[in-house]
Amino acid sequence: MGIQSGGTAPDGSSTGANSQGNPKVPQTAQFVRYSGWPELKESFIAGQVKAAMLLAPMAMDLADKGIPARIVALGHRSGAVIMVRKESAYRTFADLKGKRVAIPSRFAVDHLFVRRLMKEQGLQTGDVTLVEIAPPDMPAALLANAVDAYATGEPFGAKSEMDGYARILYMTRDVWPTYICCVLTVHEDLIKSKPQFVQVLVNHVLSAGHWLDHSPSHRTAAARIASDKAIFNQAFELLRWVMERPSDRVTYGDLRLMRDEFNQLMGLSLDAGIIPHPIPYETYVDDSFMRNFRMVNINLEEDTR
Amino acid sequence: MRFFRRLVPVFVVGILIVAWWVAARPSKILPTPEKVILGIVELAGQGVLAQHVIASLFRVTMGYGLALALAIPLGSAMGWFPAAFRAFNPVIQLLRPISPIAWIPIAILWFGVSDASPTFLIFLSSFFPVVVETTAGVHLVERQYIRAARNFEVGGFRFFRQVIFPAALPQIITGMRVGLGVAWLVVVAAEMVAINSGLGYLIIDSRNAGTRYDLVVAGMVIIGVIGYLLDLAMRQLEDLDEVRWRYSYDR
Repeated sequence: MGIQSGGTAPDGSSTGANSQGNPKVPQTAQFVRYSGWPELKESFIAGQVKAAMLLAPMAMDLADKGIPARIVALGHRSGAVIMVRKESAYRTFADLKGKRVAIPSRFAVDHLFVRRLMKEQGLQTGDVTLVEIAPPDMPAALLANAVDAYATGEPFGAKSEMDGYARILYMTRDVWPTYICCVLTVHEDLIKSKPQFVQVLVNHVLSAGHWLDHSPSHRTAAARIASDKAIFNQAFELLRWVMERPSDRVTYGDLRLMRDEFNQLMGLSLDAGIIPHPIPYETYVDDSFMRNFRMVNINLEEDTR
Repeated sequence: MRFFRRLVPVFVVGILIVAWWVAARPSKILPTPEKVILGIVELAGQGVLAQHVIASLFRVTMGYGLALALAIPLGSAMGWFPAAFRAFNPVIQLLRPISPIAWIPIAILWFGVSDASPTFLIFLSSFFPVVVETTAGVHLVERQYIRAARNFEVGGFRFFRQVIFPAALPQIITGMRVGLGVAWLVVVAAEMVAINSGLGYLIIDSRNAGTRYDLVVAGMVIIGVIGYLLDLAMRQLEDLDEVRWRYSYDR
């Protein structure tokens, strides 16, 4: 999860954007990585973090509970996978009936992905045992046969695939291409006090998405930037795997907010019981920045190595 | 006078609760005491409260029981035989400061995602204090008892059972009390790898759940209350005549 704090700067890791050298962007912005969702959420509630990549249902719920959170753009599309052991016989999700499937938490969008597959393939709640495990521990759990499959966001799917003992059972790009997971959420204080800054932020995030999907060399360059200790601190080869195998495993080209997609996500969240009642789109979204979007030039060296 | 002495701790708790209420009232997120009580009532109404408490107590009983079963014999051996002390002490001192959280990935690899993983983590946390106290207890048995036993030609297992063990018992019980406290302390961390049950799971799940901080604090309160009751029970052991001789003060 790539996150920002302080005055905020675009998240270099998932977007490839860089505020350096742009006179319009305040240089007070600071990027902070959190290694758990609750910690990030609590910092956002406390107002210490003014903009963050949050899980979409989390941002919806916060806005509903009176926390001034507004979704202004998506963080990425697709990017969730369901992994199984390489030698296992599972070919469809229905094959996992009676088995154990790991999810990060029942509030994660990966859980909604699993539920959607279960529904599509005629499985009832309880037909698979859902086990909550922190994504970094999932590859080890699969290796130890503690679970039969796991559903998570990247790069924790690619990890076991790259290490050679797991294969992909499903990718969101194949079965749910409009999958939304992380969304750029901004504190309303920041929208009121520095709207032009939020606009610059959104411009950069969306432009960086275009830049990323424009050329494979850009994706490699982004993987190199994101592997930095201060950003994701993940192996470059692992991030490169996520970016390139296949190149639309996670996509960034269209980070615009779509009402229908959010409504669909709302329906699934209600169905899963992770959101108590329907929340209107207007409560949690501010699409004005997206409507005023202007492409900015992303100047990053292309990776030729 | 006695009545007032008993009232003092209740008064302190009351002041803290009022302070909590005043501090939490303006907050959108921090729950007030009454919200926490409503949260506990809600959990009890759904029938999950008893389920979480039983799951945690079960794991603590298993992990702590296993720790006692291994730590008391090992500690006794280390306290009595210098060779055993030399052999095991470095390993024990090396492993002792490692937080159970650091063991989570290894626990998953070894024990999978089941009751065994949190039990293992609880075992680890309570094993070391019991070993260390038992070792010290046996090591420090006064020479006069040992000489007296030798003079009466008490030897073998009887020597251990009738002299060493009773003499070291007060300190072993101190170790057991510390061990149980630590076992209960790590229940939240240990249940990060638990499936759908336990007070630690309740706290972690409620943190993930939007803004249910009332349930987070409810879990904290219940852990605190049960920890207090467990400690009271352990203190009863210290009142046994077999142990009282060691203490300088009377109750």
